[in-house]
Amino acid sequence: MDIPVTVLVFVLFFVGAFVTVLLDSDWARRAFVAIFLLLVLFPGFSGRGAWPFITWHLFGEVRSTSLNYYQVRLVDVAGKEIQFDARAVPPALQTPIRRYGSMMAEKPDDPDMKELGCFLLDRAVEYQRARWEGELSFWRYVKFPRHQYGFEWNEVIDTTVAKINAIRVYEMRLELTPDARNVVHLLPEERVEYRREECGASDS
Amino acid sequence: MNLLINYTRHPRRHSPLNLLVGRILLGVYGIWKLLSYEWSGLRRWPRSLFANHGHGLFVPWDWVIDFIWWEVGVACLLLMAFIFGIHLRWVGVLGAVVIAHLSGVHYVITNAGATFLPLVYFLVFWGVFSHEDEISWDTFRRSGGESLDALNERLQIRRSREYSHSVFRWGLLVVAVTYFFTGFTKVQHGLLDWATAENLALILRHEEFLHLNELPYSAQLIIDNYWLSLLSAWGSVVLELGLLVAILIGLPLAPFVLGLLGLHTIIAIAMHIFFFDQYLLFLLFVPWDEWSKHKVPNKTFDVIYDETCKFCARSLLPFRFLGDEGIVTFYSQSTLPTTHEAVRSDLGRAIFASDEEGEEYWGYDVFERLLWVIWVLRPIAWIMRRRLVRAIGERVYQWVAVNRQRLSTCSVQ
Repeated sequence: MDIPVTVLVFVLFFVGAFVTVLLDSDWARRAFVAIFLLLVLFPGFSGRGAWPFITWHLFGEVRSTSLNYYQVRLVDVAGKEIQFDARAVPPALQTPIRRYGSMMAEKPDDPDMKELGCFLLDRAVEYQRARWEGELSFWRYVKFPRHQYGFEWNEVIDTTVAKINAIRVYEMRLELTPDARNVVHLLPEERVEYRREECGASDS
Repeated sequence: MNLLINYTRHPRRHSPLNLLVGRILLGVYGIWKLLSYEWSGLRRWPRSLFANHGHGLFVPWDWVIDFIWWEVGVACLLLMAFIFGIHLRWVGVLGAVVIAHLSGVHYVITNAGATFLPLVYFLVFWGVFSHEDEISWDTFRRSGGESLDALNERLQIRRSREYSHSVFRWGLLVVAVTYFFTGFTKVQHGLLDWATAENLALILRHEEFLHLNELPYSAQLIIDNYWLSLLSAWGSVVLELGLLVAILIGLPLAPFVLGLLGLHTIIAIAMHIFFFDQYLLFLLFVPWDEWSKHKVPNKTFDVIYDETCKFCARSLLPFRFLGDEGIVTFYSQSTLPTTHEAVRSDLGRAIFASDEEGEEYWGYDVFERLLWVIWVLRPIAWIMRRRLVRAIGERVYQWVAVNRQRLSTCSVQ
């Protein structure tokens, strides 16, 4: 998706909407609806979207028994590992955390990726502190439902994991049996690690 | 009675009520969703992520993110104006621009930002087709230029009218198209390969390893049952593609919509992915007008107002459709039936209403009754009856009644 195309579509679409409102005529409204429908249809058929029009291609791929993916984990001062909870870094959900894991694994020495890793680590430390001190907001109960619940830290994790000290990205190789009922193997391979002291944290 | 209206094929209704209900639903939903998202979290994320993303130009300067809560505030104010129908054509399009921008920025961090898009589409349609939406502040505002005689006639002469619902006509089509493409991509990848029990089981297992860490019991149940997996796979594709087909050829929508909402529920339970928005969006296509009529059978009201007061006639104009439907009969001094002769001398003080059982209402309470008689709006009438709201409302009514000469030009005969 090209940047100029995104911006062009965004600007022209809304300028078109304002012009239609200004013209206040039936032919303008008909033309606008026709263009609107084309803009909704094009991404779906072509596979290329431009905000605010996307492809709406969800869960389309045919899955294989083998799956390679990235998992972001945290390590406490005792060396114990725990999976990252996306609630530490709102508004992210579990899916983007995996995407950020793959970005860090691909370019571990890139300063931007180190900044990203240190950010995730720093927020996880802060989230762990907030959980320990019971600071989670009451408002989470009246909020619009999350779009992805997924893995969540619980009281057991709060009591068994010590202070977080590092973030690691693992490349995971999963192999399932063809009926998907059993795991043939699940092989984690460490790809990146950033420690708090590398990130310039003062209290570690 | 149909559970859902196929507006794409039948965009005309005898009542404008569904547009009002839609505006309230969509506005409240939008404000709730906007206020729930953790926009301030965006400020902490490394700015390089925004700069290197396809949506980078949505954040041309850092302060765009620093002030993002202000933008959310503007969006909420626009949605408030949208609910009341204040300058709908501008508010609709402007609200859509702001929310499209906000969600475009949000999308950089997580693709959940895309769940705002149906709201954006509906707001744009509302701006473009605002002239069809009658129960609004705009109707009151626009009537300022009309003569008093014309207003009295509009209120008191009963006509059977039809209202276009182009917002829902095209909105429903666009919602169906989004579902269609979720099915279309499965066909693109090879329908016979995708819609198998094995593939569905793999999707559930992959989700377990990617995001959940443990397999939900419901997912295990589907994986263990070959026919349930196969049915889930084919059911998904048929429902996703089928809604658009049903709309275009005129099949009943309810089986497809209820099926899709069931699908969302199963996905929420088995994969922890929750598109709650969809449950609310489909409420837009419920025949609220028919249900309201059905729930308030044979209830009729006489509403008597001062025909020399333009402001009074204008403020009743958004309720005119109740007159057309025969639920309310509007009278004024010159058309007053003898049964209501006693109230003539008090009409200069307040508007009056009485129901078929002889119960009488004055001023503020008349408006509360007008909302109460529209079954779907009874929650608003209920709020209006609360002691504090009523006390404030009555004061406001008194003030308006005393100052109506200043608020609108009046001709006193």
